[in-house]
Amino acid sequence: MFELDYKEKTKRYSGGIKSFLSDWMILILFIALVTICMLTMSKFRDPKNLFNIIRQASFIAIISMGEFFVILTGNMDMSISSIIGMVSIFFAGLVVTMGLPVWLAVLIVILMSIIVGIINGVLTVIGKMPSFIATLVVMNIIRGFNFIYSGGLPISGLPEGFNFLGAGYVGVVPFPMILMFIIAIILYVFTTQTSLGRSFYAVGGNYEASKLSGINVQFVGILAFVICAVLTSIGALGLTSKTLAGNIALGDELLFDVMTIVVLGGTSLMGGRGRIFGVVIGALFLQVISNVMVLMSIATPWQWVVKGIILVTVVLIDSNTKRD
Amino acid sequence: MTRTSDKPSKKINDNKMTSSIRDRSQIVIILGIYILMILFFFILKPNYLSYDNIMTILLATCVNGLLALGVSFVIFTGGIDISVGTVMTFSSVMSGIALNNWGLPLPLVILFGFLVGAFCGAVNGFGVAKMYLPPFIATMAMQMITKGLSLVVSGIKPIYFTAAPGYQNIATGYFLGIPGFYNAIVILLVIAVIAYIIFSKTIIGRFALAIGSNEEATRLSGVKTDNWKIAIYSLCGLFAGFAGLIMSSRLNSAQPQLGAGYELEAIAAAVIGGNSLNGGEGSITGTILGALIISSLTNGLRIMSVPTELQSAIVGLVLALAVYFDKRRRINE
Repeated sequence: MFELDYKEKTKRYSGGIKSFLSDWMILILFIALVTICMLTMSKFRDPKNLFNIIRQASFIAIISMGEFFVILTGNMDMSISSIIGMVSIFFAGLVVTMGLPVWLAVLIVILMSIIVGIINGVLTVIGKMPSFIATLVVMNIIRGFNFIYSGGLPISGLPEGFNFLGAGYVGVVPFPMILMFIIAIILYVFTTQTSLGRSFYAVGGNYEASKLSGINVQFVGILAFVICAVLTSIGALGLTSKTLAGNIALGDELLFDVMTIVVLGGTSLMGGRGRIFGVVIGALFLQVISNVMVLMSIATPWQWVVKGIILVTVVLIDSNTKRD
Repeated sequence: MTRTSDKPSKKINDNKMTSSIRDRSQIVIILGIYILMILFFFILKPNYLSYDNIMTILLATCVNGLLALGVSFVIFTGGIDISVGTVMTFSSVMSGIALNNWGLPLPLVILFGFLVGAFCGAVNGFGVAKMYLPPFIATMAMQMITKGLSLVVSGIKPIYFTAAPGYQNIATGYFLGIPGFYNAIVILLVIAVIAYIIFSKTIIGRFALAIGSNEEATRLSGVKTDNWKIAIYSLCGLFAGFAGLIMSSRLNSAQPQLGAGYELEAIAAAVIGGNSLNGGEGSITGTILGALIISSLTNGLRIMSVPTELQSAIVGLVLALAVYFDKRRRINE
């Protein structure tokens, strides 16, 4: 009865061009931003720079796509920063210290991240803990393990060939970019064309209704955390391959970047609303901003200030994210 | 817990009463666990309860305790503030600037730090209440902004308070000359009492709980929830300013790099103290207990020479247990 009084709730019922604009506001802002930069900055136009932006954005984008699934179901995964550290340090440890082949080490770290994802999911979905707290706890515990395993020191000396994952080219196209688009397309098809994929939206949109209509809500909720952990570990392997060294602090600064990207991409923090390509554009958006600030030689601290202001501005403009 | 909207004032009172009864039984349980924990460490290391170590634990509680008190008010409304750590740093950096660059006298410097904290909180509150930003996003942006500004303003160098000779004594001086009894502990105690009074005797505490349990009903019953939310977030920022004073006084300098991670510890203290992240219930006593539990646990583990990283893992486990038992208790009710 009172609900109609609130303007933010009535917006949901509008349609047509207005709805298209509000759904893809981030894309419009992104195109505007890139056009302005293209026209005004000659260094930005350089194809090398453009590829560089996509290359740097791609692994963060892959991690953000993982976080997207968790947020889509109405939860939040704070543990990604320490999952990144875990994958990085254990992968380097397995390859360099124990001499395992790369493929086996990749398999083992992905398995480890699946276990972490299941723990996150079980604590949140079956244990009914708030996801913020559950994953915070898991984050602290994994960080402890990472430290015990490595003593806090980085492990360097990964084989040169592994560098291809993060810095390789197929023809002129950077490999990370191809990887990002392949994953994005697979996930796009998954979330829009399969019933399991669509059930993530259902669970996030209305948990009770999804349960009553026969969706295995617990399975979907846990699967979201597992997908998040697996994509995070793929991203972490990419980030590790750039420096060829395992480092437990690799993901420490990334959690809030990832959150920002998911929100910029138009995902609602209450769950049930968002798009995979929104996340990809969010990642490119943030990277373009960082790149422009580096080209204009703005100091790193100012970049944080600007990122914070941009986050608020985009959320204010984009009614999708504001509807929470 | 069905509520009708035609008797809003009664509902607020009901909620207040049930939550205060529930709080009391809960506080007893938390206190019991805390005493067991102290006994455990005492048996293993009798030094744990020496006068010096108790004072060390209390001193270590100060910064986190103040932050947790502020965050608690926001959590009562069902919101969250993840910017308290960096707002704390920013307010202490600004105090340093006021002292060294502007040459303000010490009382004004301290007041200015508090105002900076309260202002950051007010901006958070404005974003949440007037611009309909989700609290997580509004305060996350504030976290980035204050983190950046602290570094920009300070030039990424610590700012020393050597120009004001008594500054270090504000936190680390001895109260009434009693050795080991730091001023900071008294400050925490006084502010905790003030917070308790604000929470239980003034309208702010009541409205915070009312907003947390049913915001629409509260608004419809004539409370200007927007303004109260701004006030509550400002209060949280003000407490971060208090924490900034203690922090910079202990170090006799404002360290612009500090701050990240403090917000999570403050939220952990509030949650261990039995405050629900959904809002609408909780207690100040619980928050202080939560902060004490974290610092006592960390101290005990340090005495037993457990590595730092493992300490945070164990604090994490305690947090998980606290939430688990809280859930079970709620289901039983």
